[in-house]
Amino acid sequence: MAEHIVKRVLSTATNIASKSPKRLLTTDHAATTAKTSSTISMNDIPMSKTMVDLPGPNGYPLVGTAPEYFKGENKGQMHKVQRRFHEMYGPIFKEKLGPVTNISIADPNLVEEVVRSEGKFPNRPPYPSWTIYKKMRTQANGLMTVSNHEEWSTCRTVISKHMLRPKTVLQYVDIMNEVVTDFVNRLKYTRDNHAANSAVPDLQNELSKWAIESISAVLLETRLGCLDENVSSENQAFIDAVGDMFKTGHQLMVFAELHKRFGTKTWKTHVDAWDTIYRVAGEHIDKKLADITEKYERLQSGSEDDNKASFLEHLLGNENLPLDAVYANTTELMLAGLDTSANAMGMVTYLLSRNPRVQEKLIKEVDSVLQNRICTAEELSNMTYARAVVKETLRLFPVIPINARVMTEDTTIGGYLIPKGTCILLNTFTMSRDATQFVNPDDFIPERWERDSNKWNPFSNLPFGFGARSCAGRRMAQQELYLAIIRLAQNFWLAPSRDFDAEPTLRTVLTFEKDIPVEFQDR
Amino acid sequence: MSLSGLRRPVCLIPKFALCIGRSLTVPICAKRRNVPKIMSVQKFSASVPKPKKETVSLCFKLTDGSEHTATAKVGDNLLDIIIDNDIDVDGFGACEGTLACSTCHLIFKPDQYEQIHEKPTDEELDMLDLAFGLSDTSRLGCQVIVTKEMDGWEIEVPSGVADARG
Repeated sequence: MAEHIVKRVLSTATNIASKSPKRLLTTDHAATTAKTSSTISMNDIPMSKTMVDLPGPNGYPLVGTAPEYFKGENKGQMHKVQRRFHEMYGPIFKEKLGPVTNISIADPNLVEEVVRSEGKFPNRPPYPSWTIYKKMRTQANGLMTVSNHEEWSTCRTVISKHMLRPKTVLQYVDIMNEVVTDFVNRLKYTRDNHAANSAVPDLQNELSKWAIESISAVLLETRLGCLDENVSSENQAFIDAVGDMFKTGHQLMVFAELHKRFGTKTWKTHVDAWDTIYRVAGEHIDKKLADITEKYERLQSGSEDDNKASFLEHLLGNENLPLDAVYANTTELMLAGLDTSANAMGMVTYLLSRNPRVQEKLIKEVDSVLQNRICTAEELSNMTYARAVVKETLRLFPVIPINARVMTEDTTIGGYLIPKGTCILLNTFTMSRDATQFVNPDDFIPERWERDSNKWNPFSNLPFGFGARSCAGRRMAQQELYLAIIRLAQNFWLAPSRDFDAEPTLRTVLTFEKDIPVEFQDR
Repeated sequence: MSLSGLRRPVCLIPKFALCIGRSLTVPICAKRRNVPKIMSVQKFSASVPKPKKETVSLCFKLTDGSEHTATAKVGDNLLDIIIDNDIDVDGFGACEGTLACSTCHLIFKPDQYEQIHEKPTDEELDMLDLAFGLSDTSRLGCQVIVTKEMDGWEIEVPSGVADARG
């Protein structure tokens, strides 16, 4: 055994040192190997430690630490349990979760080591339950659920081009603003008709409606009517299903296969949720495809001369993307764009209501730049405080508080040799509140994002992930959030509605499961 | 069976491919080196006027000491120029010019840095923060548009974009 490890360490070290000595000069270990890359011998190489040497909780036989996450107040608080483990075992630890052993890291330097060595095809693992569902229904994978390198690369290339390029994203300012107008009217309507005070009943759901309208307007150029007086039952079912899917997907992180075999309630809910998501999204995509078909028929007959291609047409125009992948990707972008933006928006309203100083400053910026006008694409770049408010919100409550990578090669992280295939959890939440990086880490201080003042290691706070596999909807989401909070600041004074602090829970994304205690008072 | 996949009009694929190709309204999966005209118009060049065929000469200095001279069209971005000229920097441009990574990191001479027309946006600065070996005169190649003032510039391509596993 020991011989095997020595051999493996030696071969990896030789491999790394000979291929790219420059890059590894940052670590002591690599400095040694780089210097002696041509004449490596056993004596020259400090022995790399392996997984065996990593600290970590012992857990129980068979199930590992899994029960820890389901007991009492730990339920829905995986990000906090992980933080406690880091406090006990340090910035890198191993943990047996059911049949697999994961590594968790919460140190910006280690995060940098991971993401800089991830190569051309970074692998962010999908939940096992997603993979099992897709296989069961013979569904194509989309950007969120895909793990195969080539498949991911094809989807990513075409989607990134139309979702991430800043100038493309700016083209959606008008349609996003249109959605925000309806959203503000909707907030006023529900507040005035259904609540005794200035609260908006079921605010989380209203935010979801705004988010689904917004992302559908981008992806399908279609308004779904979710902000109308009555939302269709199908669209409401979609919103509910997305929440259920993420919640059960999170619960099925370990032992998904067993849940399926025994047909547990969690598994059934998961399957029903996915079925609903695909059914409703499929109907919307069907409709859009019919419109596109008609458009091309008109174009061919010469009765129309419109050559502006929509997002869906770009996907369809890519010959490497089969039609079922177009459906899968569009559906996954809809559901991912819905739940993340809606919850981020919930966090912003919550934090603004608790921090009147910040809210006043935001209102001041909005009023001085815009007076009462609607923010344009050009003006958006001047809204520096509004941008800082969103960044600071995502630092305190990263919507995805735990990111993950599966290493595609054996890699040395923090001096430990991590075999390929190991899942590494990147604890964004823990790092974002690290007092050694952020002054008063639990306080909401957007000013810390002023360019000259941010002194922390930027790998401490990557709410959208890093690099080629970072969030594909990042820029659309940021723009949606900027435009929405600007308009909220123009219309409302947000006040805490009850005398308690709400605590978000984790169901893949951080969410206020119960209502958000915020009142929307007219300014 | 309620899955939408089964109700899909399967015949749409060839039909779309056909009419899309013909009307040239949708860029068909363009490889970088074989970009149809419509795609090059959509690059990061919209705001810069492009006199036809005007080119400048640029020199890219790599960390291994090698220098590569490239002819660059005014209006193109520096990432595309490095890719189009086959200047081989491992891992360069990982996100394909979508401003989602910092691998097309370039370092300019201070006076030349000041002359770059478009100043870095908030989005670019966020990405630059994550660049390896960041300097005061760093930019991301995908965001820098070639202008005629750049003729003869020497631009450093820093190390650290490389994948450690080669």
